[in-house]
Amino acid sequence: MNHFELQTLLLCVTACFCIYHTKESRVFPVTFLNVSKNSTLQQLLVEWDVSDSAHESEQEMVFEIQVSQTEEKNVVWIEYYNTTLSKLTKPLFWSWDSELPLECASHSVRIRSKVAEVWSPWSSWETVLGLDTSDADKPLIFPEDKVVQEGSNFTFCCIGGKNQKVEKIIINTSSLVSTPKRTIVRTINEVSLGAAGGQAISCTFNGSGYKKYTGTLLHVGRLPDEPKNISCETRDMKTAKCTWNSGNNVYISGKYLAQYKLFDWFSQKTLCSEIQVSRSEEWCVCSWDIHQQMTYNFTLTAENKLGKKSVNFNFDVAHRVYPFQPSDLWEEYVSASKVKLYWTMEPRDKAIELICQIEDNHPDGKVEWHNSSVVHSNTYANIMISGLQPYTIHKFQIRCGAAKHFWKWSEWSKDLTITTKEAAPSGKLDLWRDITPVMGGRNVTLFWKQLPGFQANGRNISYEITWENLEEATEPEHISISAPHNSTRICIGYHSYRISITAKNHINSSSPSEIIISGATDNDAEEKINGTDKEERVEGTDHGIWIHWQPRNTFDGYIVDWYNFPNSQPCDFQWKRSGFNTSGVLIDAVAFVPGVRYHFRVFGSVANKASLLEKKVGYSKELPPSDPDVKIIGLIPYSVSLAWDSYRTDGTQPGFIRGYNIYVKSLPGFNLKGSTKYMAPDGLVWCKYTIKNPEEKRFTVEHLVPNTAYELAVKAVTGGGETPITQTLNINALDDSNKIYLPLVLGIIPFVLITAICFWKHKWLKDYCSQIPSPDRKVLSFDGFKVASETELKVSDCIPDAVTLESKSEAKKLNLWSQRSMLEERKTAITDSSWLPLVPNEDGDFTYSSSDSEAGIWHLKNPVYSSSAAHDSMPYQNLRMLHTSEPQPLPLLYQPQHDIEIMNKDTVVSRRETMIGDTSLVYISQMEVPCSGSRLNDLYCSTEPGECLGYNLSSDVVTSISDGDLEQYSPTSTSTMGTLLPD
Amino acid sequence: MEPVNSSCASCQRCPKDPLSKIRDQTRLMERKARDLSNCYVTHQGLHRTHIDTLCHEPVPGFPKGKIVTQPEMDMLQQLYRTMVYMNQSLQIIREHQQDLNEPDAVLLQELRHAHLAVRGLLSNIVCAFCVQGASPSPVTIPERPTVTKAFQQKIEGCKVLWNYARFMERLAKSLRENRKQVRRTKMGRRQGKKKKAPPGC
Repeated sequence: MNHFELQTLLLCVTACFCIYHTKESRVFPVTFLNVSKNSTLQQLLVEWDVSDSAHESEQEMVFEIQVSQTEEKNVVWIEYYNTTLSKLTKPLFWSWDSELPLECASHSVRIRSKVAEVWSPWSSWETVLGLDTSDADKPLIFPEDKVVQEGSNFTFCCIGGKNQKVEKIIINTSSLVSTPKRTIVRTINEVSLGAAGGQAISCTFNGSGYKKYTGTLLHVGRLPDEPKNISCETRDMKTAKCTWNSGNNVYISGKYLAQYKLFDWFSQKTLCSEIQVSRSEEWCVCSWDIHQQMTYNFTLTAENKLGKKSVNFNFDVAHRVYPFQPSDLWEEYVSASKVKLYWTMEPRDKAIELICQIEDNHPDGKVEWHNSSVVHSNTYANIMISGLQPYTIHKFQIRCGAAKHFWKWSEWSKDLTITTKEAAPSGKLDLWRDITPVMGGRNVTLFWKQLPGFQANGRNISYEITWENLEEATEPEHISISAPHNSTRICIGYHSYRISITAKNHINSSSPSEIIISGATDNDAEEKINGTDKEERVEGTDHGIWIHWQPRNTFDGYIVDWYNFPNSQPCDFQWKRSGFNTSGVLIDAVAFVPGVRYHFRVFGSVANKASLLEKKVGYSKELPPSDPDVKIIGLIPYSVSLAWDSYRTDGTQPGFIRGYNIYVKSLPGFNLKGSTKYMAPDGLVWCKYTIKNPEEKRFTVEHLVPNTAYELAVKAVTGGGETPITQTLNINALDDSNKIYLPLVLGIIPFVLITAICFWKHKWLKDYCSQIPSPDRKVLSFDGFKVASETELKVSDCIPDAVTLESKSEAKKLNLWSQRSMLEERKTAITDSSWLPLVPNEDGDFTYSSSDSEAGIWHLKNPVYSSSAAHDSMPYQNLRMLHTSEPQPLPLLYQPQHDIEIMNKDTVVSRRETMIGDTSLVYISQMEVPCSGSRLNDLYCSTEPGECLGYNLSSDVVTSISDGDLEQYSPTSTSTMGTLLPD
Repeated sequence: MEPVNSSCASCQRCPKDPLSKIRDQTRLMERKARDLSNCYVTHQGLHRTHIDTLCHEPVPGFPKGKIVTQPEMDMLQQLYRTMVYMNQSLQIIREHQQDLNEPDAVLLQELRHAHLAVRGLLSNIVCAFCVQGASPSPVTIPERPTVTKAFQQKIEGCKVLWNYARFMERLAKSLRENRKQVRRTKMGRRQGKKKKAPPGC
């Protein structure tokens, strides 16, 4: 081996040794390891170190840290801790936050290091013992009173005492049975918000030990919100105050509530700390003394157990001045319309520049504001308020704000209420009049009201009225009326007059208002339009009543007057003026009542002289009128006649009567000719007739079906319509008895005639054929009456007629009446004494008066209910004479007749009174003779003086028919029967 | 615990019939105590099992058996002692609950009302002694372990209020029965007198 080779070998050996040595020195095992715990923070604290050479060489190292739980050393965490060693980082430190409470189990830690990818050996395990290994008798639970964030996981453990094992775990509302171990660990995932005072978790144990349970509280909440609505201000420039809102509920309360801290970066001072807010108040307040610092840069931090949130903001005190409420407001009167106000402000020891605002509240609700000039808070400020209403109550209040950098107004001061001084009334009165002619002159009722803008301006207002004759030089007359009267009456003559009025108070009078009353004569003293009193109808609307007129160029204005309450006292006279270029005005009086008729007069005015132009009448709203009082004045088989003559169509009605509707209802589906169908709101169908003339108050319903029941109703119609059909008249159409009796009559009469003829012929043959008379022999001869031989004997001539006149005092008399008289009587006579007087009862039917009967008067009886011969007759069907002795055969008695209305009791009475003087004579019909075709009204019409000889009493019943009925219904009135007694 | 002294300086402000007042007050407090116990349990988030297992335990401040059957003065003394205990217990419960609840929480209001009622009853008990020329003997409140953990505080409060409700219920019932018995006795005496009365009276 040569020298070179030897040197190379030595170098290699040296190098290898160096390399090996270097490698050995780059492994730095842990030389020191200490593990402890922070129970409050639930942190495992780990301290360790390596050799000093590692620190000195400032090695960049990696440490692997393993954390194991339980005695079995289950590794639960591996941490790689990178660091560059230095002399200052000695020893090394690391902490670990444990999810499991450290008391629940033993925790062990071991560490190894790595340099240049070479790991050192592991250190030995260092252990912090859990309480599950203790010999204590008392059971435990961990953690105690924990605050956790909503949605996080929560792990707890229960540790039994010595010889105890967990029996049950109770979490909130659930109870879990545990496996029998001394220590149980449970995790609740994603905890939710619960009771404010914390959710209770507990464990119960079996085994020995003085306590068998343990528990803890879990407070679940949220991070505090960022403070909101932060506001800082000063009121006196000495102290400042910040307020803020805590934001949303964080669900943890009591001692776990969020706390706030206000930190100023300029002064590096915490102005407020540990400020809490309750859940209900939600507002936090921080106050501090300003001293000389006028600007701040704040950080406001909200912090609770779960974390904190901050917000930064600046505050310039001078820009946030909120002055105190002004005080001591008082007044100084300058004039009736001017007042000077004084007040004081705070602070007095600092001169803050303020502007103030004065609010002036008028009694009518009007509000005015006045602004002051800039004033200093330490001076007595004042302001002159002008333009005030004299003798008026004003309520003042004042508030102030910073003149520079206005922030907000102060609160209003206390009210100052003053009454301004009195002054003369201002404005004018509106004067109007109503003229009534009286004997020798005119009564003028004056009315006045205050025009807009009129102000009394003082107490004890009186109205001074003066009127002067414009045609004669006389002293003006004057009266004074005290308020609150607003009308008076004066009497003037027929000359023209000027009337003026002023309002007067203690100070002075207002400007006068005038009207001129034109002259008049005795005849035209009443105001009329062209000598007529015609009223034009107007219609009301929802807004009032429009009054229109024909405008004329000659007038400078128009006046409409009316009474608000035309039907009561006081009538409340009203008037309204309008300009010269108007042709109508809306009278929107709130006093207008629907259904009341109002009368309006329109006047044209020129130079205070008014003349009546038009008259109007109308309703604000028409209403349906009252129902007419309808009477049945005629009822025959095919028709019924109705009348409501007494129905009024004037202003007593709640609307203008436009006509009448007559409703008839009978069989379903039946329709009356000439009528229209009407379906009532209740669904019933009526036949309807319409009368458009309000003054036509009678109507005959025709085409009725005999022996059929009908319901009738008559409704008056206004612009407001008509009332619903609630009450009806019920009738039964009469049966057509002609149809029954006509064949019978037609059969009997020929038979009677034939019999009579046969009888006569038989006698004639007997008299004349067996004994042939002499051609000169008179046929018949009677005492007192002679029939010419040439006269042919007729059947009627053979009927002996006689009238028996009876008197209470006298014996019967028999008189033979002439044929003419008999016929006359058939037309005219009704022997009232033979009939019962008709007296209407409550049902509209007729009955007789017993008193009259007792007085010896025969009465006409209601044939509907009283006549035994009228079993089948209908109401008002017929008027018949009832014989007092023997009833006659029905066919002769019963004839269909037209009806009469015999209801006018007064008339009956009066006639009865007339009769009283003649009751000595009583007519008795001994034989009834039908008087078909003759009518009762015919009889009435023929009972003229001179035509009722011997029968004047007989017309009494007839004349009990009302005049009106007779006038209209005479052609169809009921017939009656005259009777003659045979000799 | 230190004995609580009471004195009877003056009976001037006492009602005429303090016993009657106590009876009436007891009747009112019976329902209130039951409501308070229920309200407390509701607010604590305690499970029924908690209540059955942990709350329904006797606590030493409440007497066993019927105190009404005892002589009147003894009964009053027992009642006095119990109410002194309740007065202190309610003070502690209120302090604990203030740490857990909002200042305006319903439970805190209910506790305050109950506390006032207990003080009122104490006042009437003192009056009942006073009108008889006596005063209640000083009482010693049983020592209770200091509880620092919130859960345990809740349980302790629950126990006290449950026992308080039961005590008031028993007391009110006993007083009612006692009153009926007194009436029956009075009626019996009257009837006895009537029987002794000569016929025709």
